[in-house]
Amino acid sequence: MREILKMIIVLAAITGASGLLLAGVNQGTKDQRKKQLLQFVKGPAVTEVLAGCENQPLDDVKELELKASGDDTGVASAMDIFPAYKNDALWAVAFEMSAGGYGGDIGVIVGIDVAKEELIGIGITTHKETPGLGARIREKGFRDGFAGLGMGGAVEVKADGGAVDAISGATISSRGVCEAVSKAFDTYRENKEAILASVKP
Amino acid sequence: MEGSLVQEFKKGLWEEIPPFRLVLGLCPVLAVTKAADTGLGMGIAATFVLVLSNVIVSMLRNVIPNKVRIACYIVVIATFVVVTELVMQAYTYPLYEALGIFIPLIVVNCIILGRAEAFAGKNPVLLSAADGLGIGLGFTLSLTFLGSLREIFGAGTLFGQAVMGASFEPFTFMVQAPGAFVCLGILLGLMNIVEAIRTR
Repeated sequence: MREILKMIIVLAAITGASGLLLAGVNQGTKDQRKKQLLQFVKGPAVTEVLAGCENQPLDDVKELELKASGDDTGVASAMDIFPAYKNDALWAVAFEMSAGGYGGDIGVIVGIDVAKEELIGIGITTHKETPGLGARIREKGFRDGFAGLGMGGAVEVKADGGAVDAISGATISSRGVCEAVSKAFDTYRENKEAILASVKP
Repeated sequence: MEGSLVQEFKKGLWEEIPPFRLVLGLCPVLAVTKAADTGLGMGIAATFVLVLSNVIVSMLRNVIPNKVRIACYIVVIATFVVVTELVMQAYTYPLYEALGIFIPLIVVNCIILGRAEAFAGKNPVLLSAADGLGIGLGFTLSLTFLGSLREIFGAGTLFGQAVMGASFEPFTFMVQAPGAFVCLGILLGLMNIVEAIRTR
């Protein structure tokens, strides 16, 4: 009996100490990790989507408490809004939205032209899709199919009656990207005032 | 049990140099030595985990009950691996991306569990630290060497700098998986020859 008790106590103590240490390190490196993610993953995608603007969207980023569309928790979460300006006027905003793909959530940077209310382009950030199949959502050919889509209709792949060419053999991944874009449109519509007010030039 | 610090440190550099003499931890060795810098990064990450886990395991060696020792070792090792992962993610993101899944897999690297079980669980703290540092340094040297070799022949560069001149035609076979096996095999053979001559 004593032996069992000792085993339980020692193992529990070690795991507890380990948990404390990890929580500390996680907290301590949080901001720095976010910065690196912005620099190496989100940054290039945002810059590509908003190519042609006259400012540095990465430096002008605004953090906004928003309720993402379709989020049933009802809790607002912090979202980064990247503004792009042309001729001293707001031209477009970009932000990240995610939806489930084949292997996990797909993060999509969605750039929206605020005057025309249409899609400028998308960029893929984090995903766990199959290399060679679903991972091809990163390819320019697929992403270009989204440019110019209006906010009116639903964003869907051709098989579902939409206008987007799905990647053959990777319909689920393609659908995931479409879903993320639709969610981004809904979120933008529902929070339009707040978003536009936050990025006034 | 009686060994000097220097001796414990030195054995990791030749006599028990992983992966060439211990032939342990081959999975990351084959996978991350496409280039010298990833090999070096992986080596440093593994050394960090190895030294710290050896120290902690050695400190706790009289407290940990024998029956749950492996579970305790794994918890200690896994903790330091996650710390390494978070720190790399925060400060060396490109390297973290390049090493990918092989960072979390340090948890199951048999060199580290092997040293905890075979050495740190039975020896005092300082000796265990020296053992961890020696083996870790040996691992780093091997990985960097193997990585350099494959990078020089496979891509004509070393740490990203061109070294072979413009007329060199890269030998892409070397940076692919079969090249890793061939390289490792040749190095193992060479080390056995050297060892045979030394002990004759």
